[in-house]
Amino acid sequence: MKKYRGLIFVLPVIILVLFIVVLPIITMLNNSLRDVRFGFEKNPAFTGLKNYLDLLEDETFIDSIGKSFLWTAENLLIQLTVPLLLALLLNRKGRFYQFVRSVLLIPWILPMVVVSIVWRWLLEPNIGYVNYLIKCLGLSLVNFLGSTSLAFHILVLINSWHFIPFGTILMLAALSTIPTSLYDAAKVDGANSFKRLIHITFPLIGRIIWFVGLLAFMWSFNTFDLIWLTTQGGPANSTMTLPTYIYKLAFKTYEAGKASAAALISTLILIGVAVIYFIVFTPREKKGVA
Amino acid sequence: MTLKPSLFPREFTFKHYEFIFFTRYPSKDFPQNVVNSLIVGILASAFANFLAVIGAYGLSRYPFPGSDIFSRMLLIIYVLPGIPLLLPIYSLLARMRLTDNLIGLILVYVAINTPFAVWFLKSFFQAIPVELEEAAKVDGASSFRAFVSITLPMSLPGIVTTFMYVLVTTWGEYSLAQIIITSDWKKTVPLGLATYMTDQYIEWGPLLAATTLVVVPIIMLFLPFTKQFISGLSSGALKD
Repeated sequence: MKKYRGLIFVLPVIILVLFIVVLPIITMLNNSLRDVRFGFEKNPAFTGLKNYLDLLEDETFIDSIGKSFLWTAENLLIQLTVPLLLALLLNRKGRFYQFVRSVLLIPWILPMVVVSIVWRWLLEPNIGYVNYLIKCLGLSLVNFLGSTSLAFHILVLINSWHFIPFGTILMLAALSTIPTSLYDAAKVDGANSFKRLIHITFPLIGRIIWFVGLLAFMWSFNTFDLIWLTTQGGPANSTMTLPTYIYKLAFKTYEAGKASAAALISTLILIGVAVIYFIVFTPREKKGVA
Repeated sequence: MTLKPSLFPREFTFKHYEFIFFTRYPSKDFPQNVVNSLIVGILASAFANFLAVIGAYGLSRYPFPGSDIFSRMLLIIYVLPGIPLLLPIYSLLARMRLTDNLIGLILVYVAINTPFAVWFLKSFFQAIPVELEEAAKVDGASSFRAFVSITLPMSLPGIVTTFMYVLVTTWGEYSLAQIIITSDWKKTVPLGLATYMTDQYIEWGPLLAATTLVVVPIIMLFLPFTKQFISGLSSGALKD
């Protein structure tokens, strides 16, 4: 029994996880198989897979899955490349760089409500600064968040802007663990800076890139606050991602059964991604990379 | 609209700040929102950290079969709950009669943030040599005494950093709060700000004044801890 002594210490954490993740998932599964409107009725009728079949015929739902994957893909692309470039630029010693590193994190700690307010204000079609600048250039005004073709991509940019500091900080941390002697040795051997990047930097920080990618994936896939506080899934459902649609089903149109079915699908996608990540990066198989 | 946009304000005024402080009606009571957010944030952060210190200490000093995978999973558990879990979490709270209740909100925040806090603090505890505690035990101190007088003070920077982090994130949390809290006088700051945004006509003046008042303390509170936060996060992520 002594082997399991540590379990006593984490017991409260386990209970909390049961409460916040495991029980909700069980509730979700149960609700998804029943005829519920609000989600907490007593003894609702069992309807089998009806909610799932309804979802399959729901065009908004099918579209929202596609939108969510596009949303996640666009976000991942920006949230992996920009932090990597920034980290390579900022990986230098000196007071200035240290200062930049501290200040860099600020956008990330800003609450999403604040981010949404500020960007909605900047992009406001009549009084926003962005349109003011566009007008100065002699171009016609753009209603960024009211456009079915633009709103989605503008929100991707705002969401990425919020995440980039966090990704950059993690990648910088990984870069700073690479001893400079490695680069010097490669230089002596005649490797140019591109070759040093490919053969030294990437292999050594590969794990952290995957780690940042995992967090970027989970957070992007789950993005709700930003979308809800700026476009509410509109205009014309052009920003209706899966979480936004689940929210609408659960709390606006009161179709809790359908919402639970969609929520379970969404949760399974995220758990699936996490499982794949863990299979690829089991600690026992990792090679001697710090 | 007759107003022309301009890059710099035409006139400086404090009237919007006056408005959010002194014009108080139930749906827009900014000072009350701030008080609620502080109560919720501080209590949630304190409880989460208390449980996390115990958990992280256990994981770093008494590893059990599977404890490695367990601590790596904690971060996933932290990022997993999103909108999909909102409705079931709400119905669980409803069954416990804790909806529209700040205690319910605190409970949910503690549950969400504790896994992250454990994951974060574990690397701080691991950085402290076990030998120090063992030396104290040789001198006759109990395990608990050794923990309180040696390990705890040495990991204080980590604890303060997680405390700040949880405080800052709960201070700004929106989606859970707006489902759980419905009464105007129980609303937290993000909900207060959102009431300005859902109006047909957005009053940008008071909204931006309130936003500034929300952002400035966050930056002031968090900035001194960024270095600690970055090093804690990095060591957690690099070891993971």
